[in-house]
Amino acid sequence: MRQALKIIGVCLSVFIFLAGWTVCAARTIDNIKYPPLNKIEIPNVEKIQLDNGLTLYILEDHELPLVFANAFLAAGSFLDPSDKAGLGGITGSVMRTGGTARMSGDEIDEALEALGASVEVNIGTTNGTAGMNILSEYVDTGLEILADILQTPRFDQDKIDLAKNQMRTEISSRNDEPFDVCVREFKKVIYGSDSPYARQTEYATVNSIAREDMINFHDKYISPENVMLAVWGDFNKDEMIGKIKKYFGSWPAGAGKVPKLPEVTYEFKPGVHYIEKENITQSNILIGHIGGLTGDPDFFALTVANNVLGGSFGSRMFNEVRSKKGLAYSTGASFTTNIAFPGIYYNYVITKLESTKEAIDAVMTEIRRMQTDPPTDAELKRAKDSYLNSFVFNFDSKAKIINRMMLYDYFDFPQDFLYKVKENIEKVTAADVLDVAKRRFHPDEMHIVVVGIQDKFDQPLSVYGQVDQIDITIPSGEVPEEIVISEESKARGMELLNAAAEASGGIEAFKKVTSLSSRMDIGLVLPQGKFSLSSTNYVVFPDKSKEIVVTPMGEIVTVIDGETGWMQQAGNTIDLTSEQLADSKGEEFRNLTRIYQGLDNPQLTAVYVKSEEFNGRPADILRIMSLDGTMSFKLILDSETHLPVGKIFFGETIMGPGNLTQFVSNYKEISGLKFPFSVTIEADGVKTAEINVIEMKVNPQIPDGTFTHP
Amino acid sequence: MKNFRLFFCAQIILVLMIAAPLSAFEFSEIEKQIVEYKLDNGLTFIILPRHDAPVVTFITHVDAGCVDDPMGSMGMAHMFEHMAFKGTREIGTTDIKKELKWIDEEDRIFELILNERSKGELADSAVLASLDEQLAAAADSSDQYVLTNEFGQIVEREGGIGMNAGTSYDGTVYYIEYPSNRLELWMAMESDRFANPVLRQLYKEKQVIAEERRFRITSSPTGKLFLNEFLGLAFNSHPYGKSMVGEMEEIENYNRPVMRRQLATHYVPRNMAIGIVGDVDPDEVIRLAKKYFGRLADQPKPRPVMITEEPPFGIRSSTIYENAQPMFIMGYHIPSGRDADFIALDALASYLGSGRTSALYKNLVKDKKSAVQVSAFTGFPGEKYETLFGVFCIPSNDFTNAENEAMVLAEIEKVRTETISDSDLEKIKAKARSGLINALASNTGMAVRLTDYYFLKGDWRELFKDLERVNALTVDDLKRVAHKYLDPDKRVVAYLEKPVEGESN
Repeated sequence: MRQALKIIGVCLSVFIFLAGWTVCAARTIDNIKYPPLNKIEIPNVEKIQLDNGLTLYILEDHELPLVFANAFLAAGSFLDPSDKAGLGGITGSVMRTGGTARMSGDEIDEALEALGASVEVNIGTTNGTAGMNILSEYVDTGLEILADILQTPRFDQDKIDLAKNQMRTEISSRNDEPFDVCVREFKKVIYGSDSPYARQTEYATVNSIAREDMINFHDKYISPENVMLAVWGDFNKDEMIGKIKKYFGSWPAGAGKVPKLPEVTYEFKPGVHYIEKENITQSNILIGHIGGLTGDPDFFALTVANNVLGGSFGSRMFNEVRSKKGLAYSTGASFTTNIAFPGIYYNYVITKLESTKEAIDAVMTEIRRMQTDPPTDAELKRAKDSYLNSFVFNFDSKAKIINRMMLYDYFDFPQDFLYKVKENIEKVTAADVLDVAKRRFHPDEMHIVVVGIQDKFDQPLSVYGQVDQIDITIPSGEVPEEIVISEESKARGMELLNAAAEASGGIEAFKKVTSLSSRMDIGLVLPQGKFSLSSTNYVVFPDKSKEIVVTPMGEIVTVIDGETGWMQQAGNTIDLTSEQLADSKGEEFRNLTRIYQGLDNPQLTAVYVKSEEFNGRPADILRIMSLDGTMSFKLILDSETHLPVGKIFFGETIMGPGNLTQFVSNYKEISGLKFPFSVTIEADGVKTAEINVIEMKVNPQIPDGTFTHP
Repeated sequence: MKNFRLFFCAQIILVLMIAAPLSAFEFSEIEKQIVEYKLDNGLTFIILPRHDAPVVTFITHVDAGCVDDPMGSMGMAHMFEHMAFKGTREIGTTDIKKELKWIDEEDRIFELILNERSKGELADSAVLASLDEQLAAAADSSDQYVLTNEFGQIVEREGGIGMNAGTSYDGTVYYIEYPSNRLELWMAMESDRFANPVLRQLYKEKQVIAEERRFRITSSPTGKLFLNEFLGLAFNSHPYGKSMVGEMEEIENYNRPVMRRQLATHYVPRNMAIGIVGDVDPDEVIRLAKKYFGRLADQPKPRPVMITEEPPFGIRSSTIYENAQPMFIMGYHIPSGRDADFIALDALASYLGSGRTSALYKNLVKDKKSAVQVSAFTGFPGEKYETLFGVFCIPSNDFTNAENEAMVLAEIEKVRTETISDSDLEKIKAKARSGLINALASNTGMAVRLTDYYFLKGDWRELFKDLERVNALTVDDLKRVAHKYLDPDKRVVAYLEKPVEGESN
């Protein structure tokens, strides 16, 4: 009986084994035989060097009536001076939109869209591209425009304003999407916030970019020896070479090759970084450290390791964090490499706020497991096969083939690099993957960056170490000027300010002014044209004012009464916001009559900054600051007459926050006091308004009800 | 002066170029290469051989989308799209019988959970907690037989790339590209996943869906604005106004019996079309299609949604206050993509808001600089039913939504009362033609277009006919549809504004 049971037991297990085996073998998909893959015809790309240094890659392809071109530009935003971050990007954008010697930007838009064609320029971090896509029947038009844009961009100011406008909106909205914030801050943590590979454009850097900067950037870096051009599609090769010579052959060589990409220095150490963001329900988490170079001998084993850890459908992270634990919709990992500078090794997971720590731990577990558990045979096979079996997709379009060839040449990579990768990936073993994970992953020296709301986390981030809270408030863009505040500079400042008061009529005379009224014409210069307005103003010292502006759309009345203020338009009355009130307070602070009146007992500091030419005449520059330091502006005095000739301050402009300059002139005497009758306002160097005073009265009759809230 | 003359010449040259006869390229040559084959069970294959490289794109288009979701289970179509990657009775399991036993157990427990939940406030939290534990235990038990993500792993191992799927209001589309010698493997796996889906790990995947919902909607200002506010406002009765991913509570209540019923009625051969573009022999495709997809049982095509959204009687608007980039999206009710007027409306959207020379871009972005982005569109949220003509705008820093909206309305009023220029219409025609030629360069682009047209207009040939219809448009057609549909007093607008000072949330 026992014996029988034993036999049954044996039989059973044999049966189970067989059954298991049978099921496997019976699977339909395991019995499918693949026919040999049709041969890949690798087309023969011809490479030609023009006399001016431009390298041309050319390939005929008559499948569709289209011609494509892609110029590889060696210029990138890594070349931007740090106080002009964003210069490369805006140069590329305005090369396309700002017109050429032959056509305006708008004419180019019309010409291309009439043909259903496109030409686009983009300057990225390490390099730029200029691409063209056009029906072959119109190829000459496309090439000519592409050539003009590269060679003779004219950078129309109007399109610079447009591009800056767009950059400012990008800045103001850059904290909207939590994942974008996380990626940006993670890059800054890894490369350093000043690194060209991570730094960001700010209002101040946008404001400081001038048209000349773009012209210089273009002239210095966009020249034939720094450009490679690929052209492929529906044309006769010899004819096309002739066309390229015609459109690009006379482009004069430039100042030589662009500088090399900057090196990255990196020190491994752990860090926990937290960014608070309101109105979100998930934590966005990035964990990692510096990555590597594509030319690195570890590249092959790392490619396999990526697939096993987090780069595929069957990866450990996708299986464990997403499918088994249900912690995330988005999760993954990649040890990235670049050809020219180190990539980043990152692991990411996006999870509900309440499972932040659980998700970080789940990710860390998988990273550590890469260093203890070599890939299983199935994992290794899958990772290698997925690379090898999809190898054909490296060659499935002409664009991929010709652009890769160009890129490899630019970075001095061997043209057969891809085949080397294939060969080496075939050789990668499980031990290689374990070894590379042990050497190249540093789980104890990782930076964890979390965008979330910490009050809702399952555990505080401090369990991972000291938390560095990152402030993502967007800087206003005011450039602090380095000035020396000493007893000496303050005394000199006050002395000059008194001289200004004296030149304008004297402190005692100003003290007798209780109110002012004026009528003026205002010419507003807006991007869409010039507008004429007229305005009547009342100022009652110390803190009341009223402004009635007549516009083509009707009257707009603004009243400030001490701590409150309101605006009337088309019968509606709206109270001013705190920002608008603050702006008015600034205006009040800069009022010179008010300043002169208080010079006996100054509630401000006047610091002498320097003497230099202003508007073509020698001038002394002062910085006037409130005692609490919250308000300040620059006052410019004529060195000879001591009369004020300008004010410079930071404020709202038509194009966003920026530097405003007021030029004042045409002084006239009213009741023994001198007031300027002409004022010109420039925002970031662009004229925005011209004001002419028609009439001005000192201590006028103030109409009844002037300051009555309707 | 010199500049002016150049511009003048340029214009003449352009006009001449447009007037020149279009060159040799004939779409009819492409049409002739396309093979359509319908299996006995009603499943249609549309095949375009293209032997440029030994690769092929497969598109499975199921004519069931979010609009077809059952009441109380919105988001089910999207949920199934996730489940379609979970494997079959053969793929993804070590022991299907034992696994199914535990799967049934999961369903039994979940039924009890639903019964308890349905009591609302009277539900016993202790009972629910105990049932949740039991469900988790059953899920762990079934999990021990699961080869997690084996379906996707096989695809990747065999060189498949770009495996993905997308669910829209109108339908669900599954994508994949393979080296072309994997044709039969794809046939076997794709037919298996729709013939024998196991819906394994469903209760875990619901958490993934919940995360996707948080990601797409509740953590994203644009997600909230477009999907929640705008569509909710525009559609009162038609399911275009419902959530694509489902409400959180619906996700929590998803269960297999409901999903199986939905699959049985909607994932039927007559409701599916397959587009194959690339290095294939159509005869071989048809032979294998019969072998593998022939096993799907023929069943009637389910009925579409039969609710017509009544256009609004007035202006509907909604405002989200959030510390994010202000923007707005505006819509007008228009007929479906099947209506004869749709082509003209689409051209009008192109005229108003597509490209750098479009009327809105020129006015708002280039000239007034009041906006940094403005675009016009048709066919959102879908094309199968009465839908929307819309404008989306992001103001620049010193301009408000209201200022830009006024300018958009003025521009729209212009197209309702004046005709656009002939050269602007020619531009739209040129763009349509080059757009279709460019699409031909992409296997995936063509496979998607062919199956889209098959369901939208009943025939893939309509793709080419639509281009002829665009070419036949006149400026009066555009004015007529603008006047007919873009009534400013019947628009729908959703705004995103910065919170008002002192009323922070």
